[in-house]
Amino acid sequence: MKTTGSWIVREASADELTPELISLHGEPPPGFDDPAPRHWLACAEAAPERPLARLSLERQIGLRVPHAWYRLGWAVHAAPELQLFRRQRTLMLGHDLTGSDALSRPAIAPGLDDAQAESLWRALADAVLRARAPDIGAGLPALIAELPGPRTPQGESAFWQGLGWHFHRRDLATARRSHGPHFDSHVAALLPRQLLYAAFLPAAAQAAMGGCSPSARPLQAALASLGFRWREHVAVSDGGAVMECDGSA
Amino acid sequence: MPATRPSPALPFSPERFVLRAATMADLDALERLAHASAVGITTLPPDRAALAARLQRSCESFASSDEPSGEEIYLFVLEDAAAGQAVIGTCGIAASAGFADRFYCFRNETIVHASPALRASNRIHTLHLCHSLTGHTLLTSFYIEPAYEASVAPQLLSRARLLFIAEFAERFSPHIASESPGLADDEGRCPFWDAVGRRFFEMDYPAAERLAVGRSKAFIAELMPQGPIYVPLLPEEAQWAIGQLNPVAELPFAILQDEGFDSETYVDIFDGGPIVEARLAMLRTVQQSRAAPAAWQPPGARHGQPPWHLVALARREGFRAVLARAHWTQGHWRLDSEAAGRLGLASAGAEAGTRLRAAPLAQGSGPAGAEGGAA
Repeated sequence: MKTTGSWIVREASADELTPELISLHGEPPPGFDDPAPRHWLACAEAAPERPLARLSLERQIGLRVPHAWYRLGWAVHAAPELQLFRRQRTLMLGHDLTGSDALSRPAIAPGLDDAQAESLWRALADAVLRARAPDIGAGLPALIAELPGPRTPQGESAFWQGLGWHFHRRDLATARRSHGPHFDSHVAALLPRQLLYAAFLPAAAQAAMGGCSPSARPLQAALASLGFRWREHVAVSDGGAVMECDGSA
Repeated sequence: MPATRPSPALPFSPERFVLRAATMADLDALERLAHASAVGITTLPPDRAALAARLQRSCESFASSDEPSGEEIYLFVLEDAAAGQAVIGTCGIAASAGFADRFYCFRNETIVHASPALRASNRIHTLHLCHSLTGHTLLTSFYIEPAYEASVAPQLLSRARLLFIAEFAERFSPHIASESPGLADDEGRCPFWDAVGRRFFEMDYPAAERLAVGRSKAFIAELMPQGPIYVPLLPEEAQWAIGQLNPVAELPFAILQDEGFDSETYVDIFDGGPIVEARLAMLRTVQQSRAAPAAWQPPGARHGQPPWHLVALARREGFRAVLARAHWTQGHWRLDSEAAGRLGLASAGAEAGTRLRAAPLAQGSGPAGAEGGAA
């Protein structure tokens, strides 16, 4: 058991269920049914029996089930004869981050304020980074964290409505519940794989690219304080920012 | 803007119409037709100087004895003899699409996306910017006064071009294409442009059209996505407009469809209008045409009623075509001597043996000169 600040962080066994925690991705926690990931729980020192947050570490994602992300970029089109110059936001589907380790399945107890949540996430993420530290000599892969994308007040993802829905006409939350944590991997096979111009997406979908839901802002802040940065990769389903950290951090 | 002409005299007998190579003297008439034509015919700009330049190029193309370069354009006008040789329509040919540059269009394609894990498979309609039609010969600039649309005049106007191409095939591509205007309203609002081009240009459709006049469309393509456009991401109105024909172009489009042109593959990058294409040798008028010397006969000397034909004088400079009853016999085109005058020949006797190329007016009636098929 390891204590960080006023929190106690410990690695959890695969059979410890935490149904009282709410997944940031909006669906019930998938449970510790996959033997591959490692899981950490954080509790208050005063109540070590009650988990307040959970974070998992998946190793070398995309090597067993392909996982894709959209990489945001820019394309410049110019017609000198007409003195027209246009800079366009683009999205390119790819597997750039394959082989990275991933902080995944974040879940947190309801009722915590943002400062408490950020502190909990920092404690959990720090514990994961330390757990990876003995492997640094072997050359660690990058560590990433996909944040849940922005949602409308009705709980819908504008990015999914503007892009993914046109290629897989299912409600995103329902589809994720049906297909579990690998839904994004599977749905990528149905999405545009050639360069996509953001101009073809509705304004709300464009605005959602690289953002995150309000519930994930404390997690984003905690990761940023630990050296994670957004390098313009987004989740294929809801456009949520993918935070990245070099293997040496 | 030039004044419009009074209504034509009825009925429209086929002998009234003569198609001929346009000359500089046709500038006023062409300007009048250009002003009357619909939005979307960029090869018939309502601009006197631009029209004069096109006429000049056309005259040079008809007269030139040089090896063809592909830069040639050929403009034709249609006259109504019963209206004092008034010009009532025009059409053109561009020898090589995108000459000295590329000819851009969108190609319709289907991509299949499948996810076995989700048990889903989708056929996705995509538009790909392409140069496939570069170098094809283009049929252009078709316009006929509305009062003549119900007559046989549009058939002569559109299809006599094909006789010209067939006769002088070495000056043209074996592949033919033609653009038709897509959907746009009187205010210039164009759903396809609004969903595609406007996102990259930030200008409305009429402004883009004005830019395009006299230019290759290459400048448009430089600003457009080089990768496929995923049609499901476009607004429904724009999706529906892909390959849709502007109602003003239904008549010339129908003539091309009857010829055997394919309209499924390509659309215009501006307005999404259909671009038809075909191999020249597969077009009905070309397949059914025959070239042979003329054998003139006095009016009234013929037996029976030979079918109506599109009959063209097989000369590049001074090209003319008319509708005439003609009969194929013993390797000659046998037709009344009065047709010689309409073809611009001084006298039937002096022009015996003049080479003609003719095809049946009625489609699908077999090779030229075959019995039956009278219009």
